[in-house]
Amino acid sequence: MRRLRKVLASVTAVCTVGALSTAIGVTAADASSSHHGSKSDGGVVTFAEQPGFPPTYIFPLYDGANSGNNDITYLQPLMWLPLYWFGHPTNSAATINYKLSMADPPVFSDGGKTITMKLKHYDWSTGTPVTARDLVFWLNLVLNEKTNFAGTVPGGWMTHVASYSAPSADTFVLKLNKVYNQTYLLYNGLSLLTPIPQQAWDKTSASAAIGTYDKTSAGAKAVYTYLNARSESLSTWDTTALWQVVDGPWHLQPKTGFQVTGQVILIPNKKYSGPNKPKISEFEELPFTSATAEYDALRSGTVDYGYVPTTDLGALGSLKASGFTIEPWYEWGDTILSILFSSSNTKYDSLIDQLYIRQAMDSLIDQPEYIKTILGGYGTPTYGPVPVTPKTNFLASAEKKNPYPYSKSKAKKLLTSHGWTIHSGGTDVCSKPGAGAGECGKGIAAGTKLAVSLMYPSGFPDLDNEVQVLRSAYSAVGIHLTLSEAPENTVLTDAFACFDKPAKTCPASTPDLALWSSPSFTYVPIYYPDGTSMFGCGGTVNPGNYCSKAVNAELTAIETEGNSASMKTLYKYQEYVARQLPDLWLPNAAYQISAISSKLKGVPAQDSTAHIYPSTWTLKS
Amino acid sequence: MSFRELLDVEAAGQATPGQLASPTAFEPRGPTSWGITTREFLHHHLGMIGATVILVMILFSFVGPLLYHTNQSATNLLQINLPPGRGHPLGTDQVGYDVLGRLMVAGQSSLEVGLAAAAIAVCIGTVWGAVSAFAGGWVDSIMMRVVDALIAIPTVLLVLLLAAIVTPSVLTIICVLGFVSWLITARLVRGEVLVLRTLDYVSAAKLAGDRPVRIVLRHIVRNVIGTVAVQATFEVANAILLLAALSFLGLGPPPPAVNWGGMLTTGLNYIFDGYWWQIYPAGVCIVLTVVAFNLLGDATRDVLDVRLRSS
Repeated sequence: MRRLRKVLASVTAVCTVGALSTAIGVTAADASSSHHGSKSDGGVVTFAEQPGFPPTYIFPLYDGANSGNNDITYLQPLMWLPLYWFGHPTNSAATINYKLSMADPPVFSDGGKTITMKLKHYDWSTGTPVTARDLVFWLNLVLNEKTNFAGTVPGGWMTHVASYSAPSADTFVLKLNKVYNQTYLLYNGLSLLTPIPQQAWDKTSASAAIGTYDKTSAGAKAVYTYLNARSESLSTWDTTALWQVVDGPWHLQPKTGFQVTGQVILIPNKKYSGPNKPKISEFEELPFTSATAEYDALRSGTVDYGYVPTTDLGALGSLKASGFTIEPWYEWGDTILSILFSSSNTKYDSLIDQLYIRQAMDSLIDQPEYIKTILGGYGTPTYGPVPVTPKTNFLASAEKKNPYPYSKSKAKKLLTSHGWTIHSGGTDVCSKPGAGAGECGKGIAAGTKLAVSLMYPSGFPDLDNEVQVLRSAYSAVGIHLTLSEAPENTVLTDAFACFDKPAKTCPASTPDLALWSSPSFTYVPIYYPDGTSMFGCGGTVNPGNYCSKAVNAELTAIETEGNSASMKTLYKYQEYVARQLPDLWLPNAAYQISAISSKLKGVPAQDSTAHIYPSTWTLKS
Repeated sequence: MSFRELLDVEAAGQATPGQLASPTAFEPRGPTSWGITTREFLHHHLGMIGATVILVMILFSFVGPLLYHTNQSATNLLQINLPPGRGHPLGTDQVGYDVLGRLMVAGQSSLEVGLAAAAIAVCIGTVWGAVSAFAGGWVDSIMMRVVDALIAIPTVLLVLLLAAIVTPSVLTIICVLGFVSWLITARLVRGEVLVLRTLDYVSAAKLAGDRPVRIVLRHIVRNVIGTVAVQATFEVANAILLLAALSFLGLGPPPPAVNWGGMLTTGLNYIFDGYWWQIYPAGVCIVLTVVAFNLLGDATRDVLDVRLRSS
């Protein structure tokens, strides 16, 4: 009997590990409050937030840490509309949408230095109109808190603001001391402008009276400090009167509209004066701790608009039979395998400085096959800085094709023709040191091994599979890839540990290559796909410290030339960057493979800027 | 035979303390204690089942790849997620590895980690417990409070913490698991030593002028080997489980290293796709091996403890 108990204890131990782990993976936040059509005529639509990414910030002046889709596309724009809206409810183009914008197209004068914007008629939920003063208020706060705004680009348009004013209630004038390309400025500068209610938010404490504090630098900072504190107090979002003053189609349901777990309940703004007035009675965003938990909720009918983990694509049949439509949602962005030119492995620096080695490495990435087999067909290729999907005029014809298509033989030839002795399955060795033709290159000594390290995030089966296949392909030509897996935040921390620093100061944990997500970078809310942040010297998303004078000169030209010349330069630039390989290109996984209930109508397309349009949706009873 | 040699013989378990007084104590008297132990073990059915399963698993993992050749270094995207069939008796996984061959390679890591971590754990635990009990006084108090403090922290939490700090590899995982698994052994050994140190032959060794280190190593430790051996088998099972749990949580050794827990985790990603061959085989291997080591430990304790012997 005692022996039996021991055996049972062993089995129980095994089961406990499984159950514990499963519980960790499956634990979802409270997602049980779905109740289709139970509120009133319009019904309730439930929408799944990305796993592990609940909203964290409500104030539409956000810093980098609070600039995820959970905040800046799923939450804030539903309540506070940007002046110029990018994206469309009926197609996936990442372009300006004047119909949904709060202002007419900007008018440029004074050689392009003065921009005049005429506001359409919109009202705040208090009944007062949205005016140019509300834009002045927002810009006063931003310019005094540049470092706390994610849209700030060092040396960008904000540093060239000469003045701005509201000559009338519906006219906003911005004067710059530099001439920018008009499309560039619209997509990367004016896209950020967001009116916020000066008549309700211009105060420095809960008890203070509304004033014009924003007119002085100290006052603007004080107002920001107050609003930021209110925004960081997640538990009070739905009880704070400030956040009830909106100009968008939705507002938080008072008292019960937000839980710190991330559950959001939005109800229609009855004073909404713009197009697409809400038809449903309530819009709920549900948080999940894992994709598995979300998928369980989806299968149980708790979610109307959710997503299917890529690993569960084989089970789509049952979901479709339950009345769900499956549609991939692609974001306006790129997936890169970041090359850390300044890594702790200084020996590696001389290797990666060689273009032919980068070319060999990129030639071993079989993007079409990755998309077909690993991503189940739900992916698009990345060949350069401008996203291939959705199709836009920004994409050069040269970038529509892979400059380095998959070829093991070409990769091998590139290495052997530069003095490397190939050890298939092992590690290549430099046999011909030197900087001449047919030699390994400057700084690479005889006997140097072609070995690199790659760090990637845990918990993403697709990325794990891609990395394993990549390691195998590299191994076949003797490039030794040492893998290390870590939580996404750790990968980001280690990848950016050498950002803007010399290699010798890098911590030993810095990898040579880093992959943190797919897509790795999205052009939201800065929509112009030039990639200054990624490939410009000192760019904020340039952890590898890639810096090229040629690239920087082209980026400057793109920003400042006239529309036609700027576009030509953009084409030239993207082709150059695509071939120079400041990073290795990987396929873009779908942002999510959406599963949309057949009860939900009015979702003809998914916006590549990741905006959602619940005010255009209806629920079939 | 000198007095010290007599003490050593007694400490080695060849004679009970009382036999030292008899001039005929060392005459041959039938089977040795090793022989009795072996005979008892061979009659212990569950123990034999456990030992057989462990032997099969070792052969499967270390000899299997020599007989069943598969490519476990190159992925094959043209053959992903194939169900069991010709050429792949247990199908293929999500990057095209043959699952049967993968199980064999994974078994090597799992068993190596289990055995090595258990070895580290029992070595540390035995020395710690023996020194603590033999020294007594404040040394004992401090050493055991350390054990109490560490035991108070859930093992899985401690392992997760350590695994997050160090870069995972087979070697570091062995060290981590060994470091967190010695506590129970230390307590058990301390309890045994507290009894042993009061026995006559230990007192006699002290009177004979033996140094404490010699007494511990020569007279104490070898008399707790039975307890340690039993505990070691349980530690192997625990280490395999902990490795599986770590890998399940994504903190195991990264590719190309593979273990059964990692295979189970990866397979579970595809649970709704119906790829059962990526889940059950690894799970069955873990369960079988862990149960087998527990049976072995149970049987070892039974045959070493005279009170539990069948004859």
